Amino acid sequence: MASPEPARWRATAFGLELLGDFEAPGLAGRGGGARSGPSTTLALASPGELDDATGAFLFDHRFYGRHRVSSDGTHVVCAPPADLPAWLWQRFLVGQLLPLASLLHGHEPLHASAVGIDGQAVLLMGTSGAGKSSVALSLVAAGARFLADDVSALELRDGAVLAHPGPGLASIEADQLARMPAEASAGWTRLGSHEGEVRVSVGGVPGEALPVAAVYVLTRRADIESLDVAAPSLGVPETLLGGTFNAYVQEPARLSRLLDLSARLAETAPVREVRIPMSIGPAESAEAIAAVRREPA
Amino acid sequence: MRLAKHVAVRRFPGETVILNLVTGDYHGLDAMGTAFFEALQRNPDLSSAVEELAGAYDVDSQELEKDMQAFCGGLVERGLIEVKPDGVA
Repeated sequence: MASPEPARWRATAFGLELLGDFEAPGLAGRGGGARSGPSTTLALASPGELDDATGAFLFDHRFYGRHRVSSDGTHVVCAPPADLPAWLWQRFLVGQLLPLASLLHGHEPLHASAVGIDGQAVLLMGTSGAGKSSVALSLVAAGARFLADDVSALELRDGAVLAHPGPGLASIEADQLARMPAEASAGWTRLGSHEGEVRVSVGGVPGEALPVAAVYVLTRRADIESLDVAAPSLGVPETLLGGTFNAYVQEPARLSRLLDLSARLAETAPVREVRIPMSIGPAESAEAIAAVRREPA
Repeated sequence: MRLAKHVAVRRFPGETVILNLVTGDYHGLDAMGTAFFEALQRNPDLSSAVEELAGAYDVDSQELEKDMQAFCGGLVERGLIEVKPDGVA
């Protein structure tokens, strides 16, 4: 007996309306707000079907398999290894392929996690290991709304910089997850774990983009004893321009758009560096950020 | 001063960024560099720009001219501005 055709699903993430027909835990059906964004179809294929990558972006990853994104971001085709569970290979789909599709549709992916506080987006930048995910989830546990993990799709629209919600999926170290308040994390769906990191699906993601109100650059320091908030050590332009999630799409129109958006973001949102001593965990860091947000401008 | 056609310029609070669209390189100007840059854009030639800034900042115009010439040289070297045939940026 033939297997039933997989059900087609829709989701909203990174400013895109996604259409897929394969198992996508935590992604399928996500969002569902006003369907006015550009569309990207997602499909599975065998690796050989992706040999022809003319005019497209082809990814050959030794762990996550082979994937192709069309030059306009409207089609993403995936050939993951057969032995990887869906939630695991889709970390690459969500973490790399969809942000590229979002960029090709005209948005700007920034290497930042994001949460919504009082209807505005707060972006958390920083190098890998700085605590973007755990601080973001700590803010969610304290009442913020989860927007995105590790990459935030930004759009300059009518003079405002907006952050589009991601798919509501996050990766967090198992020991960090264990320290989250149980009443908050109990509502998160655990999809699986790999090499000490747990993939979770977080609910309550806003259905629409939020204006960016602040950008915090998290840096962990061994030479300080108390948390400090200051101007970013690299300077604001370099922090924002250098924080792009995609450095390889270099068409002039895209570079101009990145420059425009970064300049506008610098005008409309404070960009601050949060220097965190090694002794302070994400919950305290989140409290400090929430306190800074509450200070009068 | 004439910006090269492949250049985009945007102000950030306290600084200016010049983007070379051909190379993808960004060049940052601090507050003083921004003041030089904007004076050169407002004035028809280097001498006028020097005169404007020397008056505004009460500085020695000869030293300022040297500094602004060096600044222009840096912009030309990076392919960000075009120099007129008579050598005036």
